[in-house]
Amino acid sequence: MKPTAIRTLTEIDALRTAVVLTMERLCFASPQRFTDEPPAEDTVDACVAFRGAVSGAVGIAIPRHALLDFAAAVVPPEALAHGLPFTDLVLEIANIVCGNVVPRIFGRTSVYVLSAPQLGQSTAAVIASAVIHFDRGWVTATLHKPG
Amino acid sequence: MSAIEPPRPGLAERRVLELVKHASDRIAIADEEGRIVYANPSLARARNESPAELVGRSLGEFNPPQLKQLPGFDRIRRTGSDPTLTQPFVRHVDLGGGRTSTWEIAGSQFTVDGSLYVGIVARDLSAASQRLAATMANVSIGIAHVSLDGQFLRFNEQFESLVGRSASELRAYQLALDVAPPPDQRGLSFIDALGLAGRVDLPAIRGHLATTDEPYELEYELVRLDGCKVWIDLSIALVRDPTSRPAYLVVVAREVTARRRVDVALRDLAETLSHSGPAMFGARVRLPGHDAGCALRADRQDARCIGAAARRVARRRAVRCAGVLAGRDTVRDRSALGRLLLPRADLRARDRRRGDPGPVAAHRGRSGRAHHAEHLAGTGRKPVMVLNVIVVDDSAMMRLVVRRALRMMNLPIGRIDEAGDGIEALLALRARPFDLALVDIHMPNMDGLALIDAIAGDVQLSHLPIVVISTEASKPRLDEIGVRGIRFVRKPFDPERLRDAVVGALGFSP
Repeated sequence: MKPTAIRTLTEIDALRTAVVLTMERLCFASPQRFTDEPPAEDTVDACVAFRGAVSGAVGIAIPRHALLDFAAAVVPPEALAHGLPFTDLVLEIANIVCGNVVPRIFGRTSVYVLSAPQLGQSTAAVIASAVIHFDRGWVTATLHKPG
Repeated sequence: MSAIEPPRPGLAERRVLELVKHASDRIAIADEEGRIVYANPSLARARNESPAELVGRSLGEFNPPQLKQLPGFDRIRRTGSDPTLTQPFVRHVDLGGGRTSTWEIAGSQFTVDGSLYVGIVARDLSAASQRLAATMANVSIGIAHVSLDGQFLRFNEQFESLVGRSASELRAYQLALDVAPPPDQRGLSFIDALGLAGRVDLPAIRGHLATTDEPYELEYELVRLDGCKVWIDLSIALVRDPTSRPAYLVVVAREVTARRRVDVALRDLAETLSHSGPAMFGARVRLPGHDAGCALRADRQDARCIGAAARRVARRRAVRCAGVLAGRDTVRDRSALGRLLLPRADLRARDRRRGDPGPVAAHRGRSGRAHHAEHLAGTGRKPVMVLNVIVVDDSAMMRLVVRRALRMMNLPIGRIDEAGDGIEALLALRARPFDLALVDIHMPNMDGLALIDAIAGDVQLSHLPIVVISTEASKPRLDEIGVRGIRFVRKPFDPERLRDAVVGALGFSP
């Protein structure tokens, strides 16, 4: 997944901040560096649409090979062994990142309704993107304008 | 087997034989197969037979058919290799002709001229047993004897009615009291019968009782099968055998619902007064000339509901409270107010906890969770009361995350239940007692705000502490949460931040 455009630094900062906070607190992952382009690896994608004064979507992509490592920090091994799909983690990360990014970018005075997170990429065009490398893998966050 | 010719005894042996012959205890000697080789007259009289008639017959005849599966003779025969079996045990015995009796039986094995024998000394406990039964039937509190593995051995009717269970539920095995039931006839465990699952387990109780002579004490709300809720003051003590080994548990249960209602009403009132200042104080309390005879209106209203005895207690304490407040002309001295509103038992327990360096199990007559938290944080001792938590979030992954955070918070977390939306949560909250709810906002079917409103509108649930955990960051939504007086934690959260919110919602500061 590659962004079609890079917008302002503020939006990228908001994406980076939200992803770093989420991954630090949820998966105890330590950020290493930021890049513009994600590595060419197979990813698990999730997106959350938001509606309010502004509408759009926030997407998350995590390489499949890193997902298990991230998930292992979140849930006990027996939960994974008993069939809890670790793709749920991507959905939850997308949900949290979206919930944090949208008010940060578009203001806190409006109410935004978030849709349930879904697996897959948003079809809307990317207006901002951030790639954050952690000790156990990388995460790409994207902000999409309304489709 | 034919009768064995006794050896020609000397003087000392003849004395011993005469002692045994005239003893009121029932004494027998059997060979290693359990066949009687000697029976004293007392034993024979118990069966309306002569000693000679018993010789050569099996000890198993004393064992009622329904107790054949329990270890009896084998238990005694194995005492040589297992010293823990030497302690006496109580057993119903068959005396023939449909007669039974309760005997305490002590056995030991010995060898003479290379042959193994088993000696048995039994004592009739029927009279003592009847006295015990009469005592238990005539006391006003619930009493139960419980085996070390949690099975009821004996209990009185008050205990049955207090826990809302029938005798057959509590003890499926009806054939012999004081005997642990066989594996296929076990009844409810005492933990389940008392609704303690998730609060405390049997190993924890036994662990406490093994390390201190103090009983294990707990006050908690039991939800009976019929949905009725009662507060129970529970005291569990360990009875040891003559060699100091644990034998069984004695459980004493009292209903303290009325006292709890008084405590809660007065505590809430004290909280209101201390927060609202003199203006509120004047509005809620009539002060005729600042004399000590004033009464709190709320106390009167509450007291009408809970009976004369509780009313007297509540009014006496309210009068003292109001008198002190009037004298000080302030209601901001929370410690003085709180101390007045604490039951005396609480004060004694608190003082004991502060002064006593030993393990503490009592959490009796709580003066709010603050009291318990002080105890936990201040002493660093093992908690007895635990917090049962429900996590309400539509994401299974997030429920696991919250569960993990709860376990990392160094709080006495007990049972953690989960619900996927507000409706599931309400069903769970009405089915089982909880001490804390952690609630997401965005959920299908019934969202978090609707759930919070439903809880606030339910008399039984309205005091439940709630913490909202959500990604929500818009000011209007946060204001909606704020006006409800609910604490809020934004995802993603640190365990420390969640802990702060939980502690705040519970109302204590560790």
